[in-house]
Amino acid sequence: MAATHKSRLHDITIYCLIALVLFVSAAPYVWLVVTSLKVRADIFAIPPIWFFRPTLNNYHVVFIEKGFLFTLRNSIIVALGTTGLSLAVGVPAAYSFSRYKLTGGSHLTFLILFTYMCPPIVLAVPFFVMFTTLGLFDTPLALIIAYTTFNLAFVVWIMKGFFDEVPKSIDQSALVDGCTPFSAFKDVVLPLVAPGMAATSIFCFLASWNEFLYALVLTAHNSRTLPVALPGLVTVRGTFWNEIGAVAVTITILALIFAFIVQKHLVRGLTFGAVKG
Amino acid sequence: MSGQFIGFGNYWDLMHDSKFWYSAEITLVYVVSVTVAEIILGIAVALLFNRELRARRLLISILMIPMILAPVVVGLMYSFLLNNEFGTLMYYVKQLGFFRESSLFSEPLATQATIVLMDIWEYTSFYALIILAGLHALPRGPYEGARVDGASEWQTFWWITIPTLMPLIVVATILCLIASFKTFDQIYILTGGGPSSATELLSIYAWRINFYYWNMGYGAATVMMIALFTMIVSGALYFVVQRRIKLF
Repeated sequence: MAATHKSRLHDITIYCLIALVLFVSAAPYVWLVVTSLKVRADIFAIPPIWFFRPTLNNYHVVFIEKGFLFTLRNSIIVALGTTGLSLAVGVPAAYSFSRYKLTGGSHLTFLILFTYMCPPIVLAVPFFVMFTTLGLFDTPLALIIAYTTFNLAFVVWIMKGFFDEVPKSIDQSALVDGCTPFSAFKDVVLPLVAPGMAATSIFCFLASWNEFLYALVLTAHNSRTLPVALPGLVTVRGTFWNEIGAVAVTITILALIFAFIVQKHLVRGLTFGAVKG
Repeated sequence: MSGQFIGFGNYWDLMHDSKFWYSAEITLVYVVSVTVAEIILGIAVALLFNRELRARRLLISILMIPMILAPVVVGLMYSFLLNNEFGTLMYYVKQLGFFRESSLFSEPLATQATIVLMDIWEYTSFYALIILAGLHALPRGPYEGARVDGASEWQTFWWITIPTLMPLIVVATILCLIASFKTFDQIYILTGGGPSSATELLSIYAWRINFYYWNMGYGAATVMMIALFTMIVSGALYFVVQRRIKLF
């Protein structure tokens, strides 16, 4: 009797703690979404107002009147461009790393890991000098190239893991059946790793979608992406927090949906394949 | 971009630059406190969620929100929540009796604590997910043996769960060291390195030298020191991961 009572108490404590953790995780974001639906006067109310008449006006103002639609377009171009480029180069490279013995192969994989782990400020300096010299400063292409450095490393490393899981005998029987080595890769092995490749491309997209430092250093006006244009709404004449909320929600909603889709591969992707998840 | 070759001159200056060393010092404190806190809390949260739960996938998705948000958004969100005049969170903090006279972002220690807490909020769930993946893969056998031998819950945790999870905890720790060392966006937005240079981590220090003072020779030397550190830590990660693959 006493034991069940005690374990009941134990259960209640556990569920309260879980609820607390979830509340702390979600509350600031819920608050952000709420802010993006408020009129300006309600935002500065002290004590804070939690019940109000929601409006979508902030989204209209910031995207249509303040030109954030153009910034959104830049963000999409850069994210899609770098995802495409990284996959086009990275997937075949990953396949070769998985299937062929390369001289110094393991050292090469360490270099790839290092490229990925390197803080962006390290490469931002040489990139700035290079792109200014080449006249690529403030173009989407500059950002695509810069983002491909870390995304390519990511694709090679993660996709190598997925290719390693496909038994080599599958390629060999394809070769016996008369496939060329390239068509064994393209028509036989690639479809088998398609789910992994879809998750990988979502990770690439998100990494460039959220990226800030390179965009801060390598753009001025014409190719600014959403994360770097967003703090621009903080001005000395006053800050439009409801509009910041609207842009911030736009950036994050897409990321949250994508993360939900790849939840199964999330741990693997974000630990660079170190944890299979 | 013109200049004369000065050999290791920039590195020599860097070694005698007290601002660089101060920045290195707070970076070290930041990285260590963030890592220790996030790994310990991560294990705790993982244990909390390691049970049968209704709508489990949805709950995990809610738990994941902070780590998915763009770091810039996190920085802006907290600079508004903690705004001295109209921040919603600040309002409740003031109700508790803190920062009535002064403002949070004018006090070095409070600001440093804030960036650590912000990072804990943002990434603890990530390390919790890693540990959770490990908890799912634990073998059942040792636990049954321990129950037969009459071990307490705490003993089972300390003598079975932790040692079995150790490789995973090491990987999570190294990832956390690297990630917190890289942190830039949130802190740049929230404090800009201030007050004075109390939160100027190496990444922000390097940014300032290069893209604010435009001293790129000296800045390149700074950046090389950062690269060197990353190389050592990611070398450690590589070693651990490779060995794990051979062990299992």
